[in-house]
Amino acid sequence: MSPLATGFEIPFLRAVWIGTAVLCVASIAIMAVLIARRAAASAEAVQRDARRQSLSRFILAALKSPVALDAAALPPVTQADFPILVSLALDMLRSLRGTDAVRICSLLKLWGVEPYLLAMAVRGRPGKRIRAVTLLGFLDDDTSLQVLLATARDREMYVQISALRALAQRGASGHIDTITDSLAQSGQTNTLLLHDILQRFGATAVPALSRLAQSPASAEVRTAAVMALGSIGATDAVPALITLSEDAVTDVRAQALAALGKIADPRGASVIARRLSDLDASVRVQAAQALGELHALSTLPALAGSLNDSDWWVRFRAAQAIHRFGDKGVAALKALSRQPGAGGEIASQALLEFTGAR
Amino acid sequence: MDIGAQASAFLVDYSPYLLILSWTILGIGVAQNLVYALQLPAAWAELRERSQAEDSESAFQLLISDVAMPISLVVPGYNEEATIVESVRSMLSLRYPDLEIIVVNDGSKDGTLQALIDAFQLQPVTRAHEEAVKHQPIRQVYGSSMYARLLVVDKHNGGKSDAINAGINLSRNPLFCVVDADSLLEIESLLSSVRPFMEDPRHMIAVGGTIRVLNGCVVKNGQVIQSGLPRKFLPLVQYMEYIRAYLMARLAWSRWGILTLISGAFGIFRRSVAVEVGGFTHGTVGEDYELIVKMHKHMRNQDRVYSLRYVPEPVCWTEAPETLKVLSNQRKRWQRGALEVFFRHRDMLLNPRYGKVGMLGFLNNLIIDVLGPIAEVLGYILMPLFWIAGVFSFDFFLAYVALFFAFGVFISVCSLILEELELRRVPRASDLALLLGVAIVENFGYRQLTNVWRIIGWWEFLRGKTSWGTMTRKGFGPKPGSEAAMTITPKNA
Repeated sequence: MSPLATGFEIPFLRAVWIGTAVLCVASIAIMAVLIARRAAASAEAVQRDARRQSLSRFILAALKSPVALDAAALPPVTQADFPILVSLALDMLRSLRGTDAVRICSLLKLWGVEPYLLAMAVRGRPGKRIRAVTLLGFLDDDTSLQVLLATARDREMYVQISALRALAQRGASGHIDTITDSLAQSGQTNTLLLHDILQRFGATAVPALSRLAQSPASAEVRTAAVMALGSIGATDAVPALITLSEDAVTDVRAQALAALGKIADPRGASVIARRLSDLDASVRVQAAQALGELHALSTLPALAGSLNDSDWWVRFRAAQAIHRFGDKGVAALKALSRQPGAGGEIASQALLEFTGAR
Repeated sequence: MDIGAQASAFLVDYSPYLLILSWTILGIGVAQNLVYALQLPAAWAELRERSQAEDSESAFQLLISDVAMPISLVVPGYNEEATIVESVRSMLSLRYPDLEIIVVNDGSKDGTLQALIDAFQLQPVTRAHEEAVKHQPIRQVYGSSMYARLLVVDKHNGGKSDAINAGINLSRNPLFCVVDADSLLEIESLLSSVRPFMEDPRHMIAVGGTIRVLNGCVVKNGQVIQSGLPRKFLPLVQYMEYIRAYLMARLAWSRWGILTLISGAFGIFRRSVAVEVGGFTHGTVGEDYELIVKMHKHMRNQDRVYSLRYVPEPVCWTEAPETLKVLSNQRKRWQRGALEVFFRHRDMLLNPRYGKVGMLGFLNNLIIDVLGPIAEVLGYILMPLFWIAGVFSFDFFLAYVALFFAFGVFISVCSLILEELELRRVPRASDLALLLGVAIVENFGYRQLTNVWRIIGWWEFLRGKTSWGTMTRKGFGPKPGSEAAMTITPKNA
C-alpha cells in the first residue's frame, strides 16, 4: 500500500473497482440471457411464419368463397394465433376495402379475436394499441365504437390519432361533437395528421369543425380544424374562415387564408388580399398562394405590389400566383420584370422558370 | 548517481504532485463514467417512451396521406463518380409522399456530373432562388426529364458545407435533409424521422437519425436487402461503436434537450432556422456539430422555445473504413472538428444564458471531447509507471483499470442490451454473441488506439490543420457483369 493512502481513499477506491467489476459481469450475464432468448425466439419465429402462411392461405381462400363462412368452417385457432391474425388482417386491410374488408372482419369476429382487440386497445405499448385501434375501425358494433370514442381522448398522441382515424373510417360523423369536444381539451399537437383525419368526416362535420376552430382549444388543434374546413371545401365555412383570417394566432390566420384559397369562394378575395400586408411573413406567403388559387383579377394589383415585399418567399409566391392567372398573368409579369429592384428581379426569374422566356 | 537512483529521488521529491496528477486522471475517468452512467437510464426511458419500433401503422398512414411535411433531400457530392448514380437511384426509391432530391456536384474533378447527366437525362433548367446563405457560384442547374423531383446543381468547388448551402438555397421545402452521397437511407427512414417535426411543428428545428455500418450488408437496387455484420475486425468494432454512440449518448442528450450533434451523414433541419444561422459554416471539418451549436446559440440568444430530437429507428447505412490509415484519418478529423466547435463557442461553456446546453452539454463536451483523450492517454503511460514506482496503492491502480477499461465494457454491453430490448436490428443470435465479444475486446487495444488518434487530432488542431484527408470507397452499385446484389466490402485507400 502506498504511504500516501489515507483511511478515506482505500474504501473509495475499492468501491470503484469492485462496483465496476460487478456491473461489468452483471451486464455480460444479462446479455448472455438475451442472446439465449433470441436463439429460442428464432426457433419460434420459424413456427410462427409457417402458421402465418397457413392462416393467410385460409383467409385468401375465404375471400374467394362464394358464400360467407360460419364458425364451423374455420380452422381452430388459439390465443397464441391472435397476434398473427391481427398482423395478417392489418396487412390485408391496407389494400382491401368493401366486401373483402367486411369478410376479413367477420372472420376475426368468428375466431373470437374482438375481445382480444378490445383489451389490446386499452393497455400495452403504443404500437400494439395503435394496431388494435386501427382494426377496430373496420368493425361495426357498438362495443368497439365506445372503446374508440374513449381512446379518442387518449393522452398518447399516436393512439389518439389512430382512434380518430378509426372513427372516421367507421363514418362516425354522428359523434363529431363528442370528438371535437375531446379534441378541444386534448394536448394534441400533430396539426397535419389531425387535419388529415378531421377532413375525412366530410361535410357533416363542418359546423362542429367551425366551432372547434373558434374555440379556446390549443393553437395546433384549432389550426387543424381550419385546415380540415379548407380540405372539405365547404362554402358554408367561408364566413367562419373570414373571421379566422384575422385571428391572433399566426398559424390559424395563415391556414384560414389557405382554406379560403382552396374553397375558392369569391367572398374571400378581398379578405385574402388585405392579408398581403400582414405583419407575419408566413401569413403573407399563404395569402399570395391563396390568391393564386382564386385567380380574382381584382387582386392582381395587390399581388403585383407584393413582388416588392421584404421577404423573398412572399415575392416568389406572389410571382407564382400572378403566373397562375394565365396569359394576363404572364403579360403582367413581363411588364413587372422591366421594373428595377426586387420586384423586377423576381418577376424576371419567375418568367424564366415558368415559361423559359424573359 | 545512476538513472535508477535519480528516478527514485525524483519520485520521492515529487510524489505529492504525481499523486495529484494521478487523482486528476482518475477524477476525469470518474466524471466521464458518471456521464455515461447517467445516460444509460435516460436512453432507455427515451426508447421506451418514443419507440416507433412496433408502430409501422402510423408510418403507413403517413405514407398514404398527403400531409407529410415536404422535404428537400440535399446530397453534396465531390468526386463521387463510383457511387453517385446508384446513390441517387436509391434516394429516388425512398418512400415519402413529398420529396425533392437536390444533388450538389461540388466542382468534382472526376465524371460525377456526366454520370448524373447520362443516367437521369438531365437538361439545364432555371430555378428562381434566394441567396439566403453563402456559397461558391453555381455553374448550372439541371432538371431530369425522367424524374421531376430530381434537381442537380453544378457549382464551383467550395467544400461540403458550401455544397450543402447551395442545396439549402435551391430547396423550396420547410425541411431539408442532408445525406452523404456515399450513404444509403433505409426506405422508410424519412417517414420515421419527420415525425418529431409533425408532433411539434412550432418548435422542432432539427432531427437526427441513426448511422449504421453498411459493411457486411447485402445491397440490391440501392437498398439494403439483408443486414449483416462486417467480416473484418475494424468495421465490426465500429459497428459496436455506432450502436453505443447513437443508442446511448444521443438518445440521452435528446431526452435532456441538450443534443449538440446531429450527424452530417443523416439529419433533417428546419430550413428557416438553418438560414437564420447562416447555413453550414465554411472551413470547418465539424460542420454538422457546428450547425447544431449555432442553432442552439441563436435560439437561446433570441429567447425562442425550440427542440431537437434524435430518433433511433430511421437508419442511414454508411461504409466504415476497413484500414487503420483511413480510420485514423477519420478519427483525427472528428477530434479536430469537436475541438474547433468547442473553442469557437467556448463562451457557451457553463454560461447560464445558454441553459442546459451551456451548463451540461458543453460541460460534457469539455469532459469527453477536450479532456477525455488527454486524460486517457496520459493514464495509459503514467499509471502503470506510478504504480510500479509506489506512488499509489494497488487499489488505486485497480480503480484506474476499472474506470478506463472495465467500465467501457459495461457501457458497451448495456448499449447492446438496449439495442436488443428495444430495436432488435442485429439479425441473429450468433451476431449478438459476436458483438458481445467485440464489446469486451474493443476496450483492450482498440479504444486505446482511438485515443492516441484523438491526441494526434488534438495536435493537428493546435497546428491549425484544416484538411479533410481522403477516403475512397468501392461503392455499393453492382459492377458490370457481377450479380445484381452484392455484399459490401469496401477498399479504402
